[in-house]
Amino acid sequence: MIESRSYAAVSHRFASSNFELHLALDLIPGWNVLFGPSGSGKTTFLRAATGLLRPDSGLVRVDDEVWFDSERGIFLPPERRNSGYVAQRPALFPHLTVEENVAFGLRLTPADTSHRTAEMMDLFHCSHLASRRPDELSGGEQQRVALARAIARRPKILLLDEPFRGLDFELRDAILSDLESWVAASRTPVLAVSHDVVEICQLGAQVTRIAAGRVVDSGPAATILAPYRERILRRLES
Amino acid sequence: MDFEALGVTLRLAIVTTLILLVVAMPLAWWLAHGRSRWRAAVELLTTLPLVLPPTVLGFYLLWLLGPLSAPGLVLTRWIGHPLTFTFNGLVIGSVIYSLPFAVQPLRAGFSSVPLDWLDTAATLGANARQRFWRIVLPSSRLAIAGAGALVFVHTVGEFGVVLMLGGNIPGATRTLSLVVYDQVQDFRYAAANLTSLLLVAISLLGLLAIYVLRMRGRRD
Repeated sequence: MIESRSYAAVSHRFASSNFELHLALDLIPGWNVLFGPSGSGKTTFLRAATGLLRPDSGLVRVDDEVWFDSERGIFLPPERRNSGYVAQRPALFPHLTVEENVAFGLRLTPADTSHRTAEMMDLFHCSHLASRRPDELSGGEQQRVALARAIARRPKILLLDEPFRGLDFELRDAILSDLESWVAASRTPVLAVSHDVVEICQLGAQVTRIAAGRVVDSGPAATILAPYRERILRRLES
Repeated sequence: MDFEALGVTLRLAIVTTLILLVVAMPLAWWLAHGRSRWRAAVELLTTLPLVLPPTVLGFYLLWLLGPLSAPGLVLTRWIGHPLTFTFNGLVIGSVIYSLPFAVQPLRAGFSSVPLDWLDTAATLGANARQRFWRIVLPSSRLAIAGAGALVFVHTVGEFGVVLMLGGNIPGATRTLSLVVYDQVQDFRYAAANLTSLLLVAISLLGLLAIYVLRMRGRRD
């Protein structure tokens, strides 16, 4: 019995590597974290949710809107799904300024576009970077802009593929706190994937642990991460 | 100075460049990012004019576009006259002859556009056409300009295909490189030198444009 308004079930087999992914998740408003080692299928699951990959079978329903249903032959391409997606690399468009990057996905009147862009840049503290190009930004600034761009369209779901990789603890914490205010206000489901236990401690909430393309266990972060307590403490001390 | 031939040469180079940029862009994109098993075969075919003697290419085009071949006969009946020894026929020949000079730099430019930019643009609501206009084109502008300059210079200097397919008709298919040939045949070396210097100047300008674009590309 599926109760939540957002749900993603994906089955996919890569013929070249024989890797099989069979994952199903209820996506609650707020943070949902997919945790597992590299190569366990986290990114594949996210790409299937955004529509960048068409899985062999499954169902992706977000806010009661069906984006993919293999049984009914429904597949919406990524541009027709209102999802926000931030990958490991920020993928900012180098020929556009920060402001133009944030406004890229907006289909509003010029005045509304300008207003929404300013609001997003404010939220992520990057208004002072508005006229800069991506190659003039630090890694943390690039991630802020990528997040502002992803949520400027007010997506129905936000998908984060280890977007804080390579950032130090404090910077990650600062960006997360900016994002948190939007998540709390919008009650949008956020699906973040990570293999970093410290990062997951920061993200918190509902954690699903996967390995080799299948769910191992699922529950509150404190329960799922309990076996990693020593490692987390060592990392935090260091 | 044969200004009529200069006019034909420039017109041929401009028309060929414009047609090739339009034709070669989707082809180069497909070669850069397509997954078809036919890709290698198509790449081989598009590169062939680079190594084929121009007279051989000109001979086959003369046969293909003339009334002696079945496609040429159909074409002749359709448009009312053969395409051989006309400016339009010359344009077709130049487009085929210069195809690799457009496809190769465009393909290199398109290959350097990271696919995650396009994926991100798609998740931001951009469809395939918008992704091409808003991401691929601006990111590849130097490669496109470089391909245009290369095709232009190459077409200006064309000889074998022009001679075989065009027939050296003044005002219609006679280009500057044919004028040099005729002037040398008539022992008019001073005039041949002047025409050649003009071709050298055009080629140098084209190469300078390509060099400047490459420098800008490295700086960016």
